[in-house]
Amino acid sequence: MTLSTRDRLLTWCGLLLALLIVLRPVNSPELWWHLSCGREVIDGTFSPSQQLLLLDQSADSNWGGGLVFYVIWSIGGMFALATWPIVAALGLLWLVRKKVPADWSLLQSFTLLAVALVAIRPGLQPVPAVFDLVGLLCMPLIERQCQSSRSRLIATFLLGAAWATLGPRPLWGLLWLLLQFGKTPETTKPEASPLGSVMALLLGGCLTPRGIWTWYDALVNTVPTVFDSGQIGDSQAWSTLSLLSSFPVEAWALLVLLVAALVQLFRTAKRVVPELASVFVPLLLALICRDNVPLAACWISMWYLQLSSQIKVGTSSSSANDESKGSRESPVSLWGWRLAFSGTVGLLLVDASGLLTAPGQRLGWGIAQEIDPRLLDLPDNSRDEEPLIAWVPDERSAGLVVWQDVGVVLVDHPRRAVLSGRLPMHRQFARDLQEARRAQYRLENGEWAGWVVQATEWKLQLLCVPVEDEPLNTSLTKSTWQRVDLDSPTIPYASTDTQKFAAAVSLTLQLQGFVETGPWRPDKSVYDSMGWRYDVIELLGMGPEPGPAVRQSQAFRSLDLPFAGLRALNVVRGESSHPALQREFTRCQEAMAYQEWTTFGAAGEFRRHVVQSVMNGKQESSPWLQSYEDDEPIERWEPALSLYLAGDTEAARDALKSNQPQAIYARAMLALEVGDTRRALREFDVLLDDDTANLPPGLHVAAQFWSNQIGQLEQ
Amino acid sequence: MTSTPRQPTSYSRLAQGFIPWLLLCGCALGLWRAQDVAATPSPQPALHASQNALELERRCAECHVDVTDQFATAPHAQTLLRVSEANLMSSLANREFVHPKTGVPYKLESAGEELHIASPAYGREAAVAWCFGSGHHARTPLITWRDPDGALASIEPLVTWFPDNTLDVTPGMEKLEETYSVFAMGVLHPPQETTGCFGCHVTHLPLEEGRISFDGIQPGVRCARCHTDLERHVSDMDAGRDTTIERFSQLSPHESVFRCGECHRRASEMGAKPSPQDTSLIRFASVGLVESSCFLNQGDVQLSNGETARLDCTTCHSPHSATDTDWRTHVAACIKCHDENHTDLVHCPQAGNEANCLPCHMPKVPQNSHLSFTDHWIRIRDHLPSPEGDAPER
Repeated sequence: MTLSTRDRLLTWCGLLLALLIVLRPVNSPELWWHLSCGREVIDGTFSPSQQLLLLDQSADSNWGGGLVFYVIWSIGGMFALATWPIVAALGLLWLVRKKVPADWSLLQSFTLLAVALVAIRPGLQPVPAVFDLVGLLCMPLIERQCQSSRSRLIATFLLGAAWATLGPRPLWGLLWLLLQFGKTPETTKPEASPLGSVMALLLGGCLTPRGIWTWYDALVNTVPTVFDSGQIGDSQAWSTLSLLSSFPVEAWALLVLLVAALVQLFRTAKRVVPELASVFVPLLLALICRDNVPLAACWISMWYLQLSSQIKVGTSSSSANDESKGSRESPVSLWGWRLAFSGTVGLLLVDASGLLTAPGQRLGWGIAQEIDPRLLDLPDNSRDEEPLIAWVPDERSAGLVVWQDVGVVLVDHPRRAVLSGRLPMHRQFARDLQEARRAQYRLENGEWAGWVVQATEWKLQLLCVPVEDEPLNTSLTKSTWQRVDLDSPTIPYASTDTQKFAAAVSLTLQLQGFVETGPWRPDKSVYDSMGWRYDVIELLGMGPEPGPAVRQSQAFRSLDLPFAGLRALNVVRGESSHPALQREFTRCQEAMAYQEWTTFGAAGEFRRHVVQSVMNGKQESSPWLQSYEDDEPIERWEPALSLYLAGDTEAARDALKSNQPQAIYARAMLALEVGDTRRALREFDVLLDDDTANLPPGLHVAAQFWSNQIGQLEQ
Repeated sequence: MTSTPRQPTSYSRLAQGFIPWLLLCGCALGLWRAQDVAATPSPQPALHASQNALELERRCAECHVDVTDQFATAPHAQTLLRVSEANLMSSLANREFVHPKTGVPYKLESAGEELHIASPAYGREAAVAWCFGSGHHARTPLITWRDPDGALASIEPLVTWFPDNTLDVTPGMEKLEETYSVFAMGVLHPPQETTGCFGCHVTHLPLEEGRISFDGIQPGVRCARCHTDLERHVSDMDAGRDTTIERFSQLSPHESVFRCGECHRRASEMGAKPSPQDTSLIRFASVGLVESSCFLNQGDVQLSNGETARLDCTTCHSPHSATDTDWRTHVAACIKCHDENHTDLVHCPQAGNEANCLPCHMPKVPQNSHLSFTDHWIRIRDHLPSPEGDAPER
């Protein structure tokens, strides 16, 4: 094998590894918000937030970030947006290709670059945050490429202006420059003056409509958790990174990088404190806000490469020096790197399979279902002069709503609200909605709260709540707000105080009855991506992506339609065993048992056994799971129970042969679950023909109820 | 340009030592602050947050024993009781009720500290621990349980006790005619509504992660519920400072009714603009009152003593005692404005100033055969309410 062939082969291996890491559907919750901002800029404003939000009166600092991606969308559509992370990752690798020390083995290079890419991956989405990465990469580039102090100042000034206009967090550049004060003089160029560069970046950053306030915005965007927890309802706009809460895969990758960097540092550096700051400042920023993880990883990676290059320089310039000789030797043997590489590839394969990550994050390409704006049906108000005012608790919903462009103005956006200190007001509003408090009531601090007054003040007519915020969705189900869409990742609620939405509300109510007790038999087509997603894992025959089914089930369950939730899950349950799917299945079963107990006075025996099985007896003391004297032992329900838990509902129904009332009821419920309403009716009729006294508690009531529900729908 | 190493100046040496430490400390402080921000709870509703309502009430009695003694017998103080209380259990337990329209039977039986309601329309005996209502108008037991999240859910049963010691359909549920399932038992209230039910019948309602905790509950609407500055008043007293408590008479009439309306409902909570044709509003006195001309125009009327006329709930009702049933007490409030000194105000052609205004302008509207509500929407009517409670308007 010639050297060039080997290089080519290795290049392809590297590319494949990179693809394995970054080939994911775009899922940034900010995507559509920034594209909408870009659209507003094209329409002639430098303050898009003012146009899109009711409460926002301040100018946008990074007004141009969305514009770039809106132009890309306009030219290349979904294809261009979905390809962006791959292009960005390849560009990143191209930039660092010559920075990898020559004495690194290939396995070492691949391992460390793969880990870095995993940590940086969330920052490669087609949203303005990617410009923060670009800006940070440009900092050492300017230092290296600009030969004179004057050209360096000009370049830094221009970078500051561009970064502040495009990216939300130019503060990272400032921190980078400030830490140059701590660098050893030997490594800096002559006439280098970090103070001048700092001033140039600061001045350049002020060239936005926000002026000097750009830096305040940058500070808030970098460390929003210092100003507000970011929680509205159950939606978390941003959060700190903590081992106690969920620790995402990119955070683990950052930790690995950190350990590698520290090992390298203690082997080489003479001035440990300033160099330690170069590692711990980005790390602390990542801990303060997990959005900073990609930038921290990028920073630590650059610093690590720089440090490794210094070893090389040091060893080649003073080969006689014994200390340098010692540092030249890698602390990890070749076998060690082989092991590390194999482990990394194994973990990357697991990551790509999506088994251990949240749904929607496995190998694939396109736009993730949870941010697919085509799924959201809003009432079209574009011909009305008065805009519809909508309130949203999260970024994703904000983007999906404004992107529709149907004459809707949002009350606020979490990222904009934190800049002006409005988030506590929205948090209180969400809590009032969730806990159905009265129009106005007194708080412990003497102030008054209450959602009705606030909604009247805003002239609110729409609420759009993410499916995942179950407490808020559950509360709204029993309120004067009614859903006008059932299958969107963000659920729109219309006010029933106006006739405007009567038709949409009425239609949705009819659909609710249909999906719960009608002959609804969903198949995989209900989760069809309509050309916007390609799931590699599914194409490889390893089961469908569970995310859409889980979200649909959540939407139904929060609407007190657990049966519809089960139907939505059944589409994928037989082919996937993702933990999120199992969790949702368990919740639906528990909700079903609870609903039967509250509505009829007792839950069916089969249902109770199912819940006990999936919950491993955790809820045995709950009254809705209590057993009755005439219950049969669980063994009698096998194999129907096993078949049902394995996802084969029809086979489970056929396996129930007994003519005991509880078995008939279970057969009827399973028939209903698969949408076979006629067979369910026949089974319920058998129960209704029986003498009530012969039936277990609540069974006659339940049969009568379901029979009536199905009958009404058939009429 | 040469690449000779630059010699560090004293300023750059200082910066080299100082800036990394400064940034590290700043970031560490930021992290500490972020944890602090995340852990800071939002302000709670006063109803759920106040921990010492009971102690405060004891302090009230030290100085205002006449008021607190009188208040103990007022309906507000008895608006929520444990069903285990002797007189309550004896009036509810071991009785049967058959729905007059559906024929569904209900059986109420004592079971230790609880009351159980059973019906063939429902598969279980439902347990009642609390009874809502002072008994002056009615008492409705509430079926409660904890849902899978540990929150309190409830059924407001279809059966209510009335002061003539009869059981009948709960006011507002006359049109419920289901014969099976929970809908034959009454109205199902999810946790947030159940919290709302208790919220209007207590002085303090402790919540733990949004769930009602009965350990510290203070049933009944007592001193601290309306006198929101009670804690400050007691603390001022203890410190020997001159102090007084906020009085409803010091509030604007609108604010005063607004406070009562937290439980008795407010016009702003009713969704659409209230209409006199909506007979369901009769139950909500504070909604009708603020829509009345007497309320809306009170600021334009000067009394003979030079003061501006004032009409709010406390004009006729002392919240510290049961409602005075002598009509003359209430009519006296009308006559303050509608007298011979105010010739520009409407004078009733039907009666002299000493006559009872209430039957025509604030009639009692029957809710069922046991209970009537006074319509507080003071107005001139073409027709008086029929015994069925149907009051056509012009």
